[in-house]
Amino acid sequence: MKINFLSRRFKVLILYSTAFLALFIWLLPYFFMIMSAFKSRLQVYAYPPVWIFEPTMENFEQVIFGENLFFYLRNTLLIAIPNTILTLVISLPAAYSFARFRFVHKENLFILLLFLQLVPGISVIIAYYYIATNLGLFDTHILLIILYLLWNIPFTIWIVRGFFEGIPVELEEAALIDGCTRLSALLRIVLPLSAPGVGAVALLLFIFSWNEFTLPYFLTALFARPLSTTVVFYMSHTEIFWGRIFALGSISTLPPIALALIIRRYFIRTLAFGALKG
Amino acid sequence: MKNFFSYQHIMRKHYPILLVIPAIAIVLILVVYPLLLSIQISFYRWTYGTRLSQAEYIGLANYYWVFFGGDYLYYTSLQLTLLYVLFQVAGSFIVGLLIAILLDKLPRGGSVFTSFFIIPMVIMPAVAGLMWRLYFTYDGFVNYFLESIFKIRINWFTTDYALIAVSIASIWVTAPFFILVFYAALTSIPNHLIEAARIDGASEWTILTKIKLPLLKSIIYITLIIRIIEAIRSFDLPYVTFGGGPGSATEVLAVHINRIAFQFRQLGAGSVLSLFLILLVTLLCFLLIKKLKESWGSSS
Repeated sequence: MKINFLSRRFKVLILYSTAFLALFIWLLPYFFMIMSAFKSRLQVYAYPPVWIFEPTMENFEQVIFGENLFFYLRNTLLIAIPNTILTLVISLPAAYSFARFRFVHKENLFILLLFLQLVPGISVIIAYYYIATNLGLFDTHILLIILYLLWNIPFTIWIVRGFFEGIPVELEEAALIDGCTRLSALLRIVLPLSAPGVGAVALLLFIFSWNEFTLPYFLTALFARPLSTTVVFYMSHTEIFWGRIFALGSISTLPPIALALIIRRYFIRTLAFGALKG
Repeated sequence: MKNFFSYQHIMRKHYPILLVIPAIAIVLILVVYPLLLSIQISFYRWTYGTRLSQAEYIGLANYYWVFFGGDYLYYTSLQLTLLYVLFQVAGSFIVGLLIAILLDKLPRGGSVFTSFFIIPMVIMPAVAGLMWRLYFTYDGFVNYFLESIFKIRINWFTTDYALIAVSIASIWVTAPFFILVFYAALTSIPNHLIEAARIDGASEWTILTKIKLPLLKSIIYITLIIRIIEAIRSFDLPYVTFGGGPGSATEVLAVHINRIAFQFRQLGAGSVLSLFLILLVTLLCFLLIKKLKESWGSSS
């Protein structure tokens, strides 16, 4: 009995060490990038890689002050925040309707959303380029705010419908009997109860907009270019400035990772749920 | 008699669908209008940088050029796309499933581990691609490990190995999706099923292969199709990692569209390729919807 107990503890120990080791190897490329951001030009290229060195802030200084990081950051925020708000305003009533009411072709419309959302960005880019230049919207924030809706609205409706369905109908019915309107039932009962989930979705939408590359790469030039497309600036024909790429990469990947870890409980549930349902 | 089309009547009777219409209308417009436009553009010889109104109408010449030999990279890029999708989806499926099984075995803390394992998912694809580009140089991080373990160094930036390198980079980015889904699915399997098998003397391996994996079957199908679609349509990672090179060794369809449309400036021919990519995704999407309906039907 005692041996069995010991061997079980030993097994658990092995499991945890394997998990830690696997996680360490899995994230090593990312840690190595952050480490390299503090290296000088020669150290980045060194073979075998340098693990111990005197950190330099040179790359960060160059990225932040030399290349006007805050301008691109501002563009990213000016696109991501309005897009997130607009997506929620349009999607939440729709998700509520899908969760609570019956109407013609409901499930077909629901699947249509998934279907439309799978359109490849690179496939519509030529048409978007044409539309943007003709409407004079090329290289503007508003263009990207609207275009991101294509992917963000279906995602939000798919996920939030599940959250709303998880809330007992009886709560709303009681409110309706007490003279509450549908709108105030949504605002005062359903939304507060699903607030953590909806908040997680909002942060995810923000992360999606933050990371989006294909559309802004082709549809912005100088004025509205967001952070996600600026790393490629450091690839000139003659040289790639790895230190600066890594410094910019470290700065621009940290906010999404921090957000994802903050909302991690909902993040896992939300994304896994979305995938399980669709 | 009440006016059938009166505002109040419509609002009272049809508001469920009225709440849905704005969302669906916006998404529909954002997809269908560009699609129609792409069809129109595909009939023109339109050079990037000029105006469409000055472009010459050439009928089906772009289609002929793409599908019948004018675009000599077209069939190469199809092959590369197929291989890329195969490597990436198979690789990230295996890695994702193994990690999910490991995390599911942990007595506690599995979800904390999961949230750290999925970090690559929220890293900008452009940054991830560039990062791996440096790691795959001859004096890079990957070769350093290969040399210290297997005493070999591979020249990744060659026709033979470049696609594998890009696939490895993409596996790192896409495996988290599988980890996430499979971990959630494995932990949601009712405990009594597994306990019952254990009492009957089933080994852990039998429990995994005979009980857990069969229960995940429909989820595995669905996630595989989603990942295949994502792999076909993804542009950022293969483009940023090696930019389609060396030569055209990693020029998958999405990168090829960029080459034709924006580097060779042939927007008409680029539209033909874009429509073809949409067609591919649409066919896979029908398969996905079929599987989804089956799984919903069986669960309810």
